[in-house]
Amino acid sequence: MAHENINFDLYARNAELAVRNKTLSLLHKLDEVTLSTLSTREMTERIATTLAKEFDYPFVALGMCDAAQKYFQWLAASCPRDESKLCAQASSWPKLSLTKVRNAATKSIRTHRRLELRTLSELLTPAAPDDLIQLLSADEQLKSILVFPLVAKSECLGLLAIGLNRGVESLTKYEQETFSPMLGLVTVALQKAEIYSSLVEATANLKVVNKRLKELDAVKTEFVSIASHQLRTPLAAIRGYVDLIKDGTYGQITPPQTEVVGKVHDSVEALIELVGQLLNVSRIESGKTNVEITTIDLASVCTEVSNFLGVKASERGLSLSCDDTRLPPVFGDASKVREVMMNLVENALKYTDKGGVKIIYTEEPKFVRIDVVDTGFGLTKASIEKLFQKFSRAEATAADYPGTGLGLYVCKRLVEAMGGEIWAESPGLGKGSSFCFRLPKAAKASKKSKAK
Amino acid sequence: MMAAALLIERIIKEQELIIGPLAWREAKKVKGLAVTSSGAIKVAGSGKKVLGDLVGQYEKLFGPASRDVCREAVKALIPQASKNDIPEVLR
Repeated sequence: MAHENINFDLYARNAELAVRNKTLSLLHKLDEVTLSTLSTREMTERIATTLAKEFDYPFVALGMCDAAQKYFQWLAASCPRDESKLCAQASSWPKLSLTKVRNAATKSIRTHRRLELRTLSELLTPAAPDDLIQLLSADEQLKSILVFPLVAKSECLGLLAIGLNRGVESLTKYEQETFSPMLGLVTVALQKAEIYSSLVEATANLKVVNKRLKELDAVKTEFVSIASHQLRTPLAAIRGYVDLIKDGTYGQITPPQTEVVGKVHDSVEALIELVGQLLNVSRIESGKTNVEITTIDLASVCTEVSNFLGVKASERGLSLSCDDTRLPPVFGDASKVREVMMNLVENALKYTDKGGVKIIYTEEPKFVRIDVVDTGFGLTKASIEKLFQKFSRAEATAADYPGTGLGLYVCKRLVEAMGGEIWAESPGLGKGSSFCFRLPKAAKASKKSKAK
Repeated sequence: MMAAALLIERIIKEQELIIGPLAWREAKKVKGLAVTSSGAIKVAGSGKKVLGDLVGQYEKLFGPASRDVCREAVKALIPQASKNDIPEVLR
């Protein structure tokens, strides 16, 4: 007898394990369904079909509430006996207002409570077509309906309705054990589908906004370009006449007049520089800047710039020196490199009161690096991060020195167009700074190419 | 009318989940029940009696728990079957 009892006990435990296995197997199937698609409609249809098939349920339906919790919409219904395929159209049934419609579906959503119903009309009226409700009501196999609210974070995401061919009290152990994890899995799947669809919607909106922004940016660039051109001509005339007045072409001017004319001259120069920079930026941003990449001698460009600005440095009592070591050829556009160097050295002289500026070369394995090192005001870490942005200037100097805040932005765009990089370094305020850039070394067989 | 073969198949498959291939070997011992090489169930004589005997066969070996398993296995199908075709033990 003891032997028999052990056998019975083992069997009972195995039976329990079998229920667990079946539960896990169903959950795995549902998990596969939820992983197989991101479309809410497809996912809900597959979940409904899987549940109906797995448990022989005569009816299964699944629906979701909208994000604002104002409406409920059935998305999928599965009914193996529905030969007219009316269930397949569940996603086109009308939405139900959660505040206006009073039926079992809206009640379960509002109260977050599981409901046990006797008839499907309590649940599906007025969403489903009358034909379907009549058809299902005539089905003798449909004895009761269980309605589960799918709740996540105290919000009802939707409903799962299950039609049974027997009373709720005769649910199998397997069914009872499966409900809780199954509802959790379906809820997570719906959440995932909802997040995905809102992401798709947000991406589509962003694309539209991005396109509009690009259009606006192009219009702005075009405007700046035209406006700058229109400004440059009268500004050149003003500068010319101011120079003539200063030189006494229209008669001798008094010392106070000389001072005023000098100020007008400086202001016009600043305006011409600004307009020139704006034109540069608009050309770069509209892709109209032609960068002709050839093999160039970087050292000769640096020497040229150093010689040219040497006079200016002397006038200010500053030194300006340039390495005289030989450098391997690099890929770049000589005129653009000159523009970059002019900008960096002029800036260095402008923001240095004592000491001077050095141009230093470093040969790296794949690049040649140029450092423009000054003994000027130095930079904070925060300034360094923003320096190469459009209209950005170091806060320590912005108030005292005129400038457009565009020069370094133009340099960055030009250096990058030549396949290089540019950056600034400084040990801190009052400790000088270095503006560095590197360009790729030319390969032995030099190539010519064109970049925009 | 629900075919007895379908109910028998459900019961054997449910028992198979618990006791493995032994479920099929024990089923074949029931008089009036045959399993073809392709796994199809053939019932000779009264389906109701064969069903009852099948449940009894498992119960004889594994006790009352096995009867509950048989009931659970066909619970979803019972409402579709005629009362006259279902043995008392499964109701």
